[in-house]
Amino acid sequence: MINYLEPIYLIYIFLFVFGLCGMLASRNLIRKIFAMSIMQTSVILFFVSLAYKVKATVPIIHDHLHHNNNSELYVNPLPHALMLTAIVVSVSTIGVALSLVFSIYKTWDSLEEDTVLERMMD
Amino acid sequence: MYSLIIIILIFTCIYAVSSLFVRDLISAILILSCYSFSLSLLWAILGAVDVAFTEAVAGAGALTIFMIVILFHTYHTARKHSFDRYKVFAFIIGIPIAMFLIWGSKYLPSFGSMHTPASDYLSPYYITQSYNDTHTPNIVTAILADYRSFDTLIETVVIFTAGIACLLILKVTGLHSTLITALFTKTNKISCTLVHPHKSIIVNTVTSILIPLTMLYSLYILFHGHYSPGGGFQAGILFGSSIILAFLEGTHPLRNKITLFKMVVLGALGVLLYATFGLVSVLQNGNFLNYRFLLIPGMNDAQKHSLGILGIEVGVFIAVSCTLVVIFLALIRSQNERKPL
Repeated sequence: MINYLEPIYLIYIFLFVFGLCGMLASRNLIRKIFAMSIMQTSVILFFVSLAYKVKATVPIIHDHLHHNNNSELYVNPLPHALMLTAIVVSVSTIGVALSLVFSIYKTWDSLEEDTVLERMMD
Repeated sequence: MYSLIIIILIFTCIYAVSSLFVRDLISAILILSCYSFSLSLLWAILGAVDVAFTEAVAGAGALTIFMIVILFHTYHTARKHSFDRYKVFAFIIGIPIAMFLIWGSKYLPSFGSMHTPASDYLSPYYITQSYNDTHTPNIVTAILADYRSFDTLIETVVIFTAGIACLLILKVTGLHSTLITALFTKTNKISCTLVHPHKSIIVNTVTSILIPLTMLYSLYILFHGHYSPGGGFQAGILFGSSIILAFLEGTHPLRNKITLFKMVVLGALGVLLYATFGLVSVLQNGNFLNYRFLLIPGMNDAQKHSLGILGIEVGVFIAVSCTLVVIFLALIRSQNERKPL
């Protein structure tokens, strides 16, 4: 536990809140997807930086014959395995989001949220 | 090291902010791909080489292609808005959440400390024992494909489902009727054609050199994933993007070979290959996805685990690469048959 504010966590919080506010405030649907991806990556950044250890190296065992049981030599590999799949899943889900946006464009001929809402009311 | 991380993070923030404020959406996409690239630099510094690889391939590569494909047939200049109630609402929501997160971050372990709750209980076992258990030096691959293989199976299913969902949302015509006839006839009706095939000699030369090299490199990543950063996911995305590259060129022979139908069936087969490796061990009275029960004579347990990891990585590779191509073809095809309001 720390009693001061870590600047790195502040930057992650900035990215998260910026993505959230961007999703709420921007009217263009494609730009909303950009903001969503920024929000996603801020969470991934947080997980990966929890795995970081000073003076530790990448989690690939390079000399398994002399591999002593010291777990402080390698960074924590578990969040990496979780976040790796999260990135690939996020690419395909953003593909789904883009196709939703495109079917909205095909029907209402606009990417702006308020124009689409106006045309739906008519 | 710490100051380097802070500098790259500041660049990341600049990219993030400018990508949402630029009015031209194509420049916003390119800035977003710079954002992904700086993130992957950051992850390489933080020791997460596998994640960095995935981000460089997926975030900066595949995602950029999808976004540009969407903008290709819609417009790409966002309308300018003045300060209005939407933004006020966003600030009202955003500021309390920021305060809440800052208050919560006070209780987090300090950055880079050796003993945190996240790395004290389970991960020492992975670090010290994974080589003895699975004969795989890359610990991330061992966790991904062996210790947490259920998780990866479901995630592969999610990726495949996302590809199918794209087809269903965009109502890609021609798939429904041809899905049945393609089983019996050898018609090539659903082969995709991009609207205007490129005649540019530069594009054609560069892609014809790049496509085989990218495929070879992706296979190297796939089969070397035990020993170096890489594996089924990264290799799948690279292979999928090399096929997408073939569609950008006008006259590549690969264009007529790849059809939507083939890609959907192959993606399903990839998921099936993954699940088959689990079922084989069930048939030998073992647990699902416990590679120790694979029936291969003359191998000890760790070597069987290593082989099982390779098998499911191949399944992931096929599923991911085919799904990428399916999403790309769905986006392209639906644009060809666009009817304005």
